[in-house]
Amino acid sequence: MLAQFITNGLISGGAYSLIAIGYTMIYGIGKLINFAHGELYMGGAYCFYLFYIVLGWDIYSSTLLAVIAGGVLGMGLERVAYRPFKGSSRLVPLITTIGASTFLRAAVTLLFDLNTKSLLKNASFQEPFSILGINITPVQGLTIVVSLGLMSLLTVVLKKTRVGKAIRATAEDRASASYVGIDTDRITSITFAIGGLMAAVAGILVGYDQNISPNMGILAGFKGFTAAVLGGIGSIPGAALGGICIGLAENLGAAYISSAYKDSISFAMLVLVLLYKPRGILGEKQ
Amino acid sequence: MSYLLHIIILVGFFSILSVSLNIACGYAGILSLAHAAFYGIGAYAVGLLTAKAGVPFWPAFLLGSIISCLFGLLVAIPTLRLKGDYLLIATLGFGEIFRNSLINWDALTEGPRGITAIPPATLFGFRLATDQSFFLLLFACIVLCVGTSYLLKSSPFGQVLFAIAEDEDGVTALGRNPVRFKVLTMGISAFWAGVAGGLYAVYVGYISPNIFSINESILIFTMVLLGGLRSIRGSILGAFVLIALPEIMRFVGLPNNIAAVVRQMIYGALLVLIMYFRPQGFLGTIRLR
Repeated sequence: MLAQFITNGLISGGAYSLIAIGYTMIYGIGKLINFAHGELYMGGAYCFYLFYIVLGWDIYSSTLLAVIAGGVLGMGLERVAYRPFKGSSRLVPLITTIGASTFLRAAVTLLFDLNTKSLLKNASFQEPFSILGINITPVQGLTIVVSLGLMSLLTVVLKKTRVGKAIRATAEDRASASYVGIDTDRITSITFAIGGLMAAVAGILVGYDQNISPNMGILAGFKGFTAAVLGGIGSIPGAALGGICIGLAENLGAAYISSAYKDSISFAMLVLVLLYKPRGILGEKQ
Repeated sequence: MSYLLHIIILVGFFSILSVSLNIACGYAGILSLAHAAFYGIGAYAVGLLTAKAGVPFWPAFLLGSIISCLFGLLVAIPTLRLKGDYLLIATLGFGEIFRNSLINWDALTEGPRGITAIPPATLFGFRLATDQSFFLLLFACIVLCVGTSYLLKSSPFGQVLFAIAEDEDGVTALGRNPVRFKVLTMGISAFWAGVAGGLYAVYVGYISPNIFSINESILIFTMVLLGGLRSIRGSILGAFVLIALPEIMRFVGLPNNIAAVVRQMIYGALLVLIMYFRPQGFLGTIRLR
């Protein structure tokens, strides 16, 4: 039984990690908590729904286009809710992203209505199989593999490529980065796009597993944020670790305490971390 | 006429909510997205006590507001050590988890079905079942809430709150404990949200978890920002503009469920537009810091 709960924790933890990465990178670059991040997750899932179910395209191009749409949505968000307010108080972009998230949720509700929708066309993706006594569906297995794979890929991109180095330089010191010729506005835009891509992947995977609704991004966004803070905001391995910790804590808590408190666990964890270890597990000292 | 009165009553509920949120946000700089949760706690307390336990209106109403106040203190004690953006997201989490608990705690709250047949308010043995008589009770509560807000503003307590919003460390240096002040403020703010909730429950007679969602918190927050932080008249104006003006959509012939969603879009867009054009709000003087 314990092995099953740990597996479930890894599945939801993988998705939280992907959301947390966006929070952490955008915070690193823009010193902003992107309130609309959960809506990028929701938006990716709905784009997939539009392409795959409504328009009836095949699964590969639907997935690819929905993930790209998530990235474009992230860039649009940066244009509307972040860039015009760069010089103002930190609270201003916070409020504009709250506005953007309200707007996006309502827009999706208007287009698709409030009912939950299934992304399932092929039931075999949801057929559980068992390894070593653990039941897992192909989609759930894919969630773990894809989230670990994407996080490793992102780490390599940030370490080795030109863009990756520019992102790290901008996060470290924006002014100096622009002195050496880095276009920091473009880097910010790219960072929002990466956050959007990752969130869209998480949205599609979770949506496939648990169906989608316009409000799916609220709690997922909150938990992703908690994961980013728990791991240490600004740190990519921290986001991965934080997501998995939250996923495990939730599923073990639901199993051994009560499933009614599942969502409260992440709230308690956020408050405790912020109070007692505000830099998180892997956060850098200042 | 009765339609107009209904709209005025709705503006009234939201005036209490925005004026009380302004006490937290505008006076002490506590940005909170949990206000709908305190509103919901007041409503559910009154709904459960009157419809299920058979408690008369007034004791239930007072108890509901006090319970809401206690929740405000309880949430405030851990979260108010956080600042600005972290506080905002922690209160958002609390609000959403509160709504989830309403849905999941079926045995107490009837889950998503909500609580029905809540009896109307009474006063000296009279049932305030008509909109006109209910409005008198609501109006008295608005006056009391606005009065409290003005009193706070001019009191030494309020002055300390203003100072906390400006410079928390400075207040600490002067020997006051900002967290204690902020916790009390949150209690007062939550108390009045509970009052609005209790009134709402007996006015409509039916409550369900979705009435107290995060969207409602954002709506109240938008009212306060639109009117201008710290301005009491501004908060009332914000409630009026955001409740009464969208009613026009009804006359354009939009069906109810679509109008509700379009409204939501307007609130969202407004938040961005306020920050573009007038970050201090209509009647506000202070800027966000």
